[in-house]
Amino acid sequence: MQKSIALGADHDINTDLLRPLCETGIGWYSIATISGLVLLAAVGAFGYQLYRGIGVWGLNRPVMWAFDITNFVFWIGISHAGTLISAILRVTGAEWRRPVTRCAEAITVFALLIGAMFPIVHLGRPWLFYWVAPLPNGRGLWPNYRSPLVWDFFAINTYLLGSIIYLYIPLIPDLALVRDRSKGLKRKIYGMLSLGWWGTQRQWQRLEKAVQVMAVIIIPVAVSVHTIVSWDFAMAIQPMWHSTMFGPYFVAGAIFSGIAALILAMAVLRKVLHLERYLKPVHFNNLGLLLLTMSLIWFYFTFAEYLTTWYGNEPAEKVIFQQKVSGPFSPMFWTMVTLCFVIPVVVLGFKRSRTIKGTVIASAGIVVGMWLERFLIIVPTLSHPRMPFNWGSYRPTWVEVTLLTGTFGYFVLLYCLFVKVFPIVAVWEYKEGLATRPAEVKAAAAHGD
Amino acid sequence: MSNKVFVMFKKPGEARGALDDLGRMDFAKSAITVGSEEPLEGFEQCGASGKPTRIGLFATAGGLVGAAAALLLTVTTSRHMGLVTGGMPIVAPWPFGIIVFELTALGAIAFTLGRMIFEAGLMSPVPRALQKAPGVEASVVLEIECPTEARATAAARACQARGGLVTGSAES
Amino acid sequence: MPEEKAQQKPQWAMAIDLDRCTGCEACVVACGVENNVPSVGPAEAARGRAKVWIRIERYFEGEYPNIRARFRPVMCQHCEEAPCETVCPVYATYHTEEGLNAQVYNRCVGTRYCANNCPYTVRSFNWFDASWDAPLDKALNPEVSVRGRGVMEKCTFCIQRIRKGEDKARDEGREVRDGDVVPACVQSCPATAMTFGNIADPSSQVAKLAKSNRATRLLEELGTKPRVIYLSKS
Repeated sequence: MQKSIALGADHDINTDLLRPLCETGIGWYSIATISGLVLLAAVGAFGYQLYRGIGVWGLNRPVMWAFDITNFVFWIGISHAGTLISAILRVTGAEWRRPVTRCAEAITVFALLIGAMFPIVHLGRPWLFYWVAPLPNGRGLWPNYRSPLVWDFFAINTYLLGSIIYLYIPLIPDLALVRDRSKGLKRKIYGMLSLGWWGTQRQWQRLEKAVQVMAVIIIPVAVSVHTIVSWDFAMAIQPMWHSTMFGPYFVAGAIFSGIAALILAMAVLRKVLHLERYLKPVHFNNLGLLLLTMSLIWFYFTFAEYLTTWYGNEPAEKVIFQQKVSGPFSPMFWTMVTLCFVIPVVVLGFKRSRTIKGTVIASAGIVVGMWLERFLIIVPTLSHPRMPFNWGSYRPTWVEVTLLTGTFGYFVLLYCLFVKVFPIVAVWEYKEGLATRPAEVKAAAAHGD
Repeated sequence: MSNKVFVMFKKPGEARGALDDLGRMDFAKSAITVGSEEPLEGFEQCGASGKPTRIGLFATAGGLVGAAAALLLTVTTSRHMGLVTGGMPIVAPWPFGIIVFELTALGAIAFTLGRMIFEAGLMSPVPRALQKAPGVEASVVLEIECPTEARATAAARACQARGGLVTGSAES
Repeated sequence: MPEEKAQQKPQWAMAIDLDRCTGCEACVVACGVENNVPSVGPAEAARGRAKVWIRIERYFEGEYPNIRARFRPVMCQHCEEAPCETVCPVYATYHTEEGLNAQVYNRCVGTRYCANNCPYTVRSFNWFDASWDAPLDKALNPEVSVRGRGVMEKCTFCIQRIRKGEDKARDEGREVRDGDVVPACVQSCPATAMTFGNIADPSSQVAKLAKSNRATRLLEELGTKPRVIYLSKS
C-alpha cells in the first residue's frame, strides 16, 4: 500500500514523512513497551541504590569508578553523532546530508541526556548534585573551577542547550507543517512550538543563516565536550591516564562511535518507518566511508598510545599495559581491537560489503567495542595504582548491569517518542534539496539505487 | 489606508506566475509577502524589509557577553572564596580559560537564537487568513498590500486567474 | 585577625622509622578507635572495602629462603601539592594553613575523583551507612564526627588532637612544642617508630628526622611534596 505511492509530488513527501506522526502500529507499541520496561528496571535499580547506598555497585578501593563513568563517557561519545556530524556536513554543504541530519541531531540530544545523568547517578549523595553548580547559597559552598568535573558541568550544559537549539531551529518549519495538517489541541500545541512560522522569504533566510551560525559554533563546542571528558582522566596523575593525547583520542573515538550509532538508528528507522525512499544505500555508503576513516584514525591513536607506553617502559605504566594486552583484561582488549578495527576495515574497506547490512554489522561491533574501550581506559588503571600493595580487581553487580541496559532502553524509548511527535526526516530540507539541486540529488539517488 | 489580500496556491509555479502578473500590474515586490513550506527560489525580493541580517554580529556580541560573564564568575568568586587547593593559585588562568570558552559559546548560541527569532518576526501569530485549515493543501501563500480597494480587487482577480484561492482581505 | 595571620602557623608533619616498625598494626586499631572508623565486616572487606585510615603495607625482600618482610604504615601523606585537592568539584578537600589536607565531610557529594587521583590510595569511601559491632557502637569518640553514607574520608592527622594541643599552648601563652600533639597512631606505637610535630620549628624532633640521610618520601618523583617522612637505611 505505502510502496505504491509515486515519487515526486510535494503532497506525497509530506504524507510519507509525516505518516509516523499519524499512524501508530503494533510495532511501535511493542518497541516502546519493551524499552520502557527495560528503563523501568533501571529506575528500580537506581532506587535500590539510593536506598541502600552506592555500595550495591561492585566498586571498591582502589576501583572507585567503573561502569558508571564508562557509561558516561560512552553516551557522551555517542552524542557526537549528531550535532558534530550534521554540523560538519552542513558547513561543507554535503547535499546527501539532507535526510540524515535530524536523525543525527536527535541522537545527540538523547545520548547527552543519558550521558549527563551518570555524573549525577554515580555520586555518593546524588541528591546533592547541584552543589557543583555556582548557585549562591548560605552554606559556604562554591564550585572549584579547577576541577575537571566542573568543566564537565559547563561543557555538557553548553553542549546540551546548544544541541537542543540546533535541533529545534531547523525543526520550526516542519512543526508549522504539522500544525497546518492537524486540528484541535494538537494544532494549538504545534502552533505554539512553531512560534507563528509561516515561511516568509525573510523567515527562511534568517533561519538558514541561524542554522549556519549555529553549525559553526557547535563544532568547537562538541570537540571541547569530549576533550573535557577525556581530561577527567588526563588531568589525573594516574599511569596511562595522564596522557596529552587523550583529548584528540577521545574526540576521534566519540565521532567514531557516534557515526556507528547513527548508522544503526538509520537502519532501524528505515525499516520500521518505511523510509526506504529517503534513507538510501548511498547514505549508508557515505557514512560507511566516514566510519572507515574514523576506524583508521582510532587505530592510529590507539597504536600511538600503546607504543609510547610500551617503549617508555615506565614501571607503573608497564603494569597496566600488560594487564590490558596480556593480562586478565586481554580478552576484552583484543575483542575491542577486533570490533573497532579488524571487522570495520574488512567490511567497510570493500565497496561490495559496504552495503546497508555491512555497515550495520560493522556499526554494531563498533558500539560494543567502544564501550569496552572506555571500560579498559578506566578500570585497569584504577585497579593497578602505583603502589602494588593496593592492587585490586573489579566485578560488576546486577545493579550496574541493569543500569547499563536501562540506558539503551531509555535511548530507544526517547527515540520512539520523538519519531511519534516530530518528523524524523527534515521535510523542508529534503524538499529544498529536490528543488534547488535536482541534478545532484538525482545523481546521488541513482548511485544509491 | 491600505488593503491586504491573502491568497493560497497549491503549487509554487502558480504563485510564481501570479507574482509575474502582479509585477506587470505595477505591484512592488516589497508589498508582497510570500510564505512557503520550503525555501523557494525566485521570490528573493519579496517581503517588506531588505535589511541585511545581523545574526553573525549578534553571535559575536553574545560570545563577548558570555566571556565577560565567565571571567567575572571565575575570577571574582574564586578570589572571594580564597581556598587553596593542591598548590594551585586562587586565580588559575588555564582551567578558568575552559570555563570562559564554554560560556563564550553559550552566549553566542543564545544570542543567535534570540536574534533569529527577532529578525524573522517569530513569536507573533500567523495572519488569520493565512492559517491553513486541515485538508487545505497550499504550499505557497501570499499577502499582498494594496493602496486602494480597487487595486485589491484587481490583485485578487489576477491571483485567481493563476489558480490561487483568495482566503480573505483586510483593511489595515 | 591579622595578628594570627602574621604568626607563622605550625606545619604538621610525621616521620616514620621503617627500621623500627614491626608491622604489629597497633596504630591501625588505635586509629580506628580514635576516629570512629567503622568496621565493615569480613564480607565487605573481602570485596576490597575494608575501611582503614592507616594501613600496614607488607613487602618481601630477597628470594626464598632468604626472605625478609618489610612493613610500611601508610596513611594520608598530607601532600603540600595534593592531587586530590585540585580535582574536587566542591572544595570538600582543600589545604589548611597548617599544611593539613582537610576533608569537609558535609561538603562532599561523593564523586570519588579525589580517591582516583590519589597516588597513595589512602582515601576510603562510605559505600553504606556506617555501623559498628556491639559494643563498639557504644564506644564512639565524641570528638570526631561520624561520617554519613556517600562521603569520602581519610586520615586527618587526628585534627581533634591537634586543635586540643594548639589550644593548650595558646592558653599557656607559648608556641606549640613537641609532645603537645600526639596522634593516636603515634601514641600507640610500641616500637616508637612514629614521630609527629611541627616541621617548621627546626628544633622539633620531626624536623631533625626529616634531615636525616635515611629520610625519603613516598613517590617523591610525582612532586606531591608529602608531609610524611619515611626513615629507612636501605
